[in-house]
Amino acid sequence: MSEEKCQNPWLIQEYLDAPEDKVLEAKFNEHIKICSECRTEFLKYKNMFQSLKTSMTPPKLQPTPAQMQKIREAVSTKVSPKNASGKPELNPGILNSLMAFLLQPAAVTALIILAALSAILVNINKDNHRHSNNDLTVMVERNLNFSENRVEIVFADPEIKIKADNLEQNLNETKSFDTGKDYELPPNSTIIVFSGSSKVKISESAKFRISSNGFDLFKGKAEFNLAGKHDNFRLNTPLGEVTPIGTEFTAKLSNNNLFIGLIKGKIAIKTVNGSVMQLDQKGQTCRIDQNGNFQEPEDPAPKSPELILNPNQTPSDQNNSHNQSGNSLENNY
Amino acid sequence: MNRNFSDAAENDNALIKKMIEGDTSAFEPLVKRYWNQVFFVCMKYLKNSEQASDAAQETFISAFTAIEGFDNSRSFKPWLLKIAVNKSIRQLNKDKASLNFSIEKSIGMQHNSEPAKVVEERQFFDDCISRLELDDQILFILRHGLDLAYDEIAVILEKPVGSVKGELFRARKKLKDLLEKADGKEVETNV
Repeated sequence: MSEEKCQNPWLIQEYLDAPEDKVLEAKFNEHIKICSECRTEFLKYKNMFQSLKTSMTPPKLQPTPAQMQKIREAVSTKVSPKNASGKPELNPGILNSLMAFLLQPAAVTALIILAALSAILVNINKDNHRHSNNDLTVMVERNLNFSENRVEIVFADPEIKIKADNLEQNLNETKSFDTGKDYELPPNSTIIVFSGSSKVKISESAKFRISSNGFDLFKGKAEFNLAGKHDNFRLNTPLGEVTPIGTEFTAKLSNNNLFIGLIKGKIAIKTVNGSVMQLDQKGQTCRIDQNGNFQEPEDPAPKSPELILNPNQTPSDQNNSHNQSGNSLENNY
Repeated sequence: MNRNFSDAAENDNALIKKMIEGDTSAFEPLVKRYWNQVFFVCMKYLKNSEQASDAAQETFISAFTAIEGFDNSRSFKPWLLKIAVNKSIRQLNKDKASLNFSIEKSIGMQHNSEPAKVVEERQFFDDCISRLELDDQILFILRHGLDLAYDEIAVILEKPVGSVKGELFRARKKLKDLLEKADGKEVETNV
């Protein structure tokens, strides 16, 4: 039995790559009889191959109806009938009917009246336009309205169902959520819901309800990234209410505790017993127990996705920013 | 791995034939079949769900609008994934810094019903993979996650089959060494 360095170091990988290859199997079996190094390494590689298969397999994910629609439109635009000049063809039947109508005296009179009315309306509009800049600003800066939401990304089995007021519907077919209905996400699924540029990632079998100015979380986890004007927004949970002053935070209900983590901006939390806390440092977390009291955070789950994922952040940065307690403003006021 | 076209690949080519003949509804089964694979590859490059979702959509749109140029005697999947890789690299070069609100971990959330120890081990393994070069990680996805043959990976990455094989073997060796090293460090810390 030789203890020298292996002369065929890739054989293990070749064999594990094609375990059904009998010739390779025989060659490998012969080799490990004489190579102690490969005998030691084989199990490590075998385990690693299994882990690679698990880790690198894509999640069960289907395109949302909106994504499918976008692709459908692009595909059908490409094949829509066009004439030689590339412009859409005008139906000759419609053209003939239009000409016949225009040649009647009553139609000519009607057109003159319409032209006069249009001129008056244009003048009125010009006058209104001078005063409408403020209205435009209001439109651009209007408050976040969660009743206008759309489901953009779904991580779930293709046929998995979501409960809407206890009635099941296909999660992958769900385009948006109705306000006032209670929804319950199935296990092992994650969705991202948009409203304007704001987004909420919902997971961990969350039970929730969306209203025009807020989000009720009854169980599970929701991560919020709020853009634009959203000072009317509230997150309501059975244990407390969160008012976001900033933009990104997570909330998770688990074992009758509410875990809140701040990612960006500021949030104020008011619990069911009236205790108030403000989180204003990135990475701060807090826990609210079933009585509405603030407790030391003990669950690592509310770590912000940005903290976990930002490749430019060193582990020491993460340690510094994680698990800082929030500033208790006032208790039992 | 030397494989013939699978049933799925034969179905792909039948659907593509229908598309070329003018049946625009034939694209839907192809999107449903490959969306997660295309999205997963884009996500690995872009690390941002919105960008990955856009890149995945653009991949399908580009593929279908150029479908008449597809050689139907070949396999559709590597051709599609090659478009996904190119789209992602182009997007990555355009904006390398955009990593806000990344949901890369959502992919791992599919397993959140597993015991804590299993999740921890998976996290440790994934952390080691993330320390490798992006090219190595893409090789792992194509070979282990999507179960592609070496010649198919060679088409996607525009490299000779021998280079793909050599790079993959070296990447696995690097990962094994990294796992051993990281595991040793963890044991030292615990002691």
